[in-house]
Order: sequence, then C-alpha cells, then structure tokens
Amino acid sequence: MNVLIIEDEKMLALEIGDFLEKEGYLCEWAKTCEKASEKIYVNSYDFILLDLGLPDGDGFDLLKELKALDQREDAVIILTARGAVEDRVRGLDLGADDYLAKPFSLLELSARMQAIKRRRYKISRNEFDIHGFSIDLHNKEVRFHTEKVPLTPKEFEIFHYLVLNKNRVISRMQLTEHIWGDVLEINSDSNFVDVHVKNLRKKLAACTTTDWFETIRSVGYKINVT
Amino acid sequence: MKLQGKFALYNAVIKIVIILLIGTLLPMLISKVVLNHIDRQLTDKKEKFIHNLSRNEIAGVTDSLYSSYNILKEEFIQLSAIPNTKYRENRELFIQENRVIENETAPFRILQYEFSYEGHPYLLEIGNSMSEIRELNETIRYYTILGLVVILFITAIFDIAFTRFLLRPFYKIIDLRLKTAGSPEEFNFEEIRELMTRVGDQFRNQKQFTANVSHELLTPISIVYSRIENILILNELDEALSDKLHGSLKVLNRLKKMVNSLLLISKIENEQYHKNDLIRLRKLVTAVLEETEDRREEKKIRVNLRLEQDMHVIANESLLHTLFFNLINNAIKYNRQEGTIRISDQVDEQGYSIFIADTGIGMDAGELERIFKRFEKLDTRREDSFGLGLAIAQSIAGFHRIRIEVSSEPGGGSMFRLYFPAESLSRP
Repeated sequence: MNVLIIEDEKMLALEIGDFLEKEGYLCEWAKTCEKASEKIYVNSYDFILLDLGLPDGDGFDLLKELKALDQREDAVIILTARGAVEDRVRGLDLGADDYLAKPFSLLELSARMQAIKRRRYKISRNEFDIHGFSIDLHNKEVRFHTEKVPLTPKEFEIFHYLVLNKNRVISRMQLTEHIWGDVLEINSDSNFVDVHVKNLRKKLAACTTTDWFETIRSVGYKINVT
Repeated sequence: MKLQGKFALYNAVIKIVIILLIGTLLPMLISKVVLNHIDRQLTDKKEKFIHNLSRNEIAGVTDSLYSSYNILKEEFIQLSAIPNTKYRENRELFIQENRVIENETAPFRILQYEFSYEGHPYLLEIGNSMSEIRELNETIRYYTILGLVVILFITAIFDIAFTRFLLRPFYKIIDLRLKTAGSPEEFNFEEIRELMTRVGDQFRNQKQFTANVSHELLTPISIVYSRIENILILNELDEALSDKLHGSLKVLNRLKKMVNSLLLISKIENEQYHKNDLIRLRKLVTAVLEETEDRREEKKIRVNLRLEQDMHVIANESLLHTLFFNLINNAIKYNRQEGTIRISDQVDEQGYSIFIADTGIGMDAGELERIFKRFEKLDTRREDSFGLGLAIAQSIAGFHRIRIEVSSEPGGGSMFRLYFPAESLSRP
C-alpha cells in the first residue's frame, strides 16, 4: 500500500516513513502544498498523512482539492500541531478519515490506519488468532477455541491493541492514550489501566496458561508470539 | 478652559447682549411715548386757543406778532399773520427746532397750524420745551444701564455657583477615572484611538503567537517521540535500554501535556473560545462521571450524584467538560480507597451552585491559597502533580464568570463549589 506523507518537517517525515516502511507500506514525501498537489494529481494513494500547517499554504485547501477529484478513494489522516477542536471538526467535515494531534504515537498512527483499512478496503483481517484465542473485530468478541470469553469493551480494546503490537512493549501511557484518548492531564500515568489489564489477564488465564502475556515492570505490557 | 469657565462666559455674553439691547431700546421707546404725549397736549392747547379766539384779539395781530410764554420759558404760543401766497388751509405740522426766547436758546417741540380768520391767513405756533425731557431721558438710560450691570454681576455669581454645584459629580468622575488613573491632564482622544488599534493588533498577534508556539514546541517533541518509538521497535534491544527509552517517552508525554495545558490557558485568557453552547448540566456531569468510571474503579470510589435542578447553562461545551473533568478527576485522585464523591446542587436568588465534595486527604489553609496557581506543587504526599488541572479549571471558570470556592480541612476532604451566575442560566 502506498502512503503520501505531506509534512514540512523533514525529520518527522523521515521517522514516519521509516516506521511505515517497516510496517510494509511504500512511502512518498511532499514538503510543500505545491509538491503535494502535483503528487496528488499524478498518483492516487491508499493513505495521505496531511499536516495542516504547511509553509506555502493551508492543509485544508489541499484536502478540498483532493476531495474535488473524481474517482479517488485516498484515505486522509490529518496530523497537526494545531490541536484546536474546531480544526478537528472542520477536517472531518471536509472528508478526512481521522485526525491525530502532534505529538502522536507511531503505534497509534498504525492502529488508526489498520482501522481505516478494515472500514474502507476490507483488506485487513477481521480475525486474529493468538495462543488459541481468536479476536473477532467485527463482533468485538474474543473466543477461546469455540468458547466465548466474557470481556468488557475496555478489556477487549486492550487485548486487541496488545495483539496488534505483539512482541512490542506497550507502555501504560500508550495503552491509556489509545483506550481513553488524549486527555489533558499531566499525570496520565495512572494505574487505573492496571485494573483492567489485571481483570483481562484473569479472564484469559481461566482458559489457558498466559505466560506469553508479560508485565514489564514499571513500563507496561507485552504479548509474545513466536 | 474648564467646562465651568465656558458656561460662565457663555452666560455673561448672553447677558451683556441683552443689557445693550435694553439700554438702547428703552430710551428710544420712552422718547417716543413722551413725544406722543407732548404732541397730544399741543393739539389740545391749539383747539382751546382756536376755540377761544375773538375778533379783538386777532385784530391786534394783523400787522404785528402776538406771542406769549410762561415764566420758566417751558411753553410759548405765537400767532402771526402770513402772506396769502404761502398759506395752505388748515395745515398742521409738528417740528422740533431751537428757539431763542429772551436770549436763551432751547430745543422746542412746536405745533404749526395755519388757518384763516375772516379771510386773513394766520400761522399759529405752540411750543413745548424739550430740554427737560432730554435730561429725563439721559437719567433713565443711566439708571437702566446701572441697574442691568448690577443684575449682571449678581446673576453671574449665582450662575457660577450653580454650575459648580451641577458639575460636581462630573468632575468627581473625571478625577476618579482619568486623573488619578495616571492619565495626563490634557486628555487626547487620538491617543485612545491609537491605544485601541494597538490592543487590537496585540490581540491578533497573541492569537498568532499561540498558534505559532504550539507548532514550534510540539513539532520537535513529535520528532523525538517518533524517533524513540522507532528505536524501541528494533528487535535486538537491551531490556535496560528499552526501559530508559520508555521512561523518556513518558517525560516527553508530560512535556507535551504541559505545553498543551499552557496553550489552553493562554487561549482561554485571550478569549479565543466562543461561549454559546446550550448545555444541560446534569447530562454533562453524567458524561464526565461515565468517562472517569475506570479511574474510580481502581480506588473503589462511590459516587453520590444528587442534582435536584435540571439546569441549562450557556457556555463553551468542551471547556465546561474539561472543567468538570478536572474537578471530578481531582476528587478521585486525592480521595482515599473506597471513598465517596458527593455531587449536589443548590439554587438561590443570584444563581445556581454545584458542589463536588470528596472524602480525601484535604488541604490546610496554606495549600488552599495556592491550589489555583500554576505549577504550584502541593506537599510531598502528592507526587508529580503540577496543579495545572486546577489552574485550567480556574481559567475556564473565570472565562465563563463562574465562581469557584473551595473549603477543606486536612484529613476532612475538600469541597469545590461552582457558582453559576443567574444570567448564564436557563431552565428548560
């Protein structure tokens, strides 16, 4: 899948590109509105990551330009440091698929892209299988072989996010921001996420051994898959 | 010139004009009346004279002149024969001229009357001295002007006293608002206009500044954050290194939130938010409670929600949500295990209050004073709290003219009261 990164900050564009290429995407980069406009007219993309504050214009104009083109399905995710609520509303009104305020987590970006893929292209798998558990994203439920595991919506989200980022340490902070959103609270490293993880692990452990579900002390959690 | 001086000058000018007008018109009017009176008297005397005229008397006049005057030479009467050629029957004429009576020249008002008696034409002249009347006229003019000047002075004094009395509150305002406010005596409205333009510019600059700062500060944070995440993804990573990098991410995240919090406060204080959403407070509080359910679960905190009134408020919805979130989150964070949060309300004449009370560790008077200040870290019992949550709450409340009051005792929990002014409320 190909991605166009429209971002005036070179270092950030490189980091995003680096990450997405490891995830299997093909990336292109446009630094200005003008360059981006050229690229958009020539190629179509699966994803366009759009920064709003560009040196030679406003990202919203670019979004309008894109939406005026016929026969285009490019998914647009707005990435911006202008965290105003109005910008978010306006972006989504203009037809953007999602909106992430800078600074954002690359893992979160990847998760959002997966969600869009599921919604729009129906390419991504709707089921994950892991250590005998299968995660049904469509019905939002987890089964152990055929037995349904009674998870709460939050527990389901946590399990899904950890499986999505399997073999990676996910910190409490990343998990909290993914599940509860980017709440403006300095001390967001609260332990309330631990309660949910504890309950989740208890429910999973009732089915089978869960030594693959690791707690990384003082950091977070990790699900290992070999 | 002072306003009072201007009033006094205006009054004086008006009065002088009136006095000059009266001073010139009154003598003219008087002399007119007096002349009329004299003319009537002269006509009367003529009629009497003509009526009593006898042949004998006339006979003496035929060749010479008959004349008579009284002792003080105020009046005279003179009858003379005139030649036929000049005669015009019954001609009556008033003239004013100087006459010499016994070597004394004086101005006279004279009635000339021509008539014929038994075929002979005669001229009758009856005169009345004017010198007396002129003197009288002078006297009247003199006293009129004198009298009017005296009136002018007296009324001017009263005018000044009265305007001073009337303008006293006005000067008081000027003293209070302008002079003691440090402005120069000569107040320049051009300066005020300039000031307004400058304020407007600065407001725009401030808005632009906020937008720029958010970009300039958040973009580098974003770069470092992404870079660390990319390093963490590398497979062969030492566990200790991984821990350190996660720690760095945590610090970066805190930095991000601090920047965002300060930007939020700055935006609120620069009034960059509208406040025209109609919000149902009961619904808003319920939504915040749902959102914070997971946080409460950890400490098994019970909520006692008792809002008797179904109040609506005109405000900015997302800001008000943040306000309630911060206060309720605070009540969770500083509560004890299995504590309670009590949310209640109260209506009075001036407005509506919502109380959020917790059963937490409470605060002493010194802490209470500082809780709304930015970056005031409270005592060591509370780790890494920067107090920005309450500073934000305070900014939002101030922006909406909501009053926040706190009462607390160490160990006895804290109670926050949000006081909504009546004008922001509307009941369904």
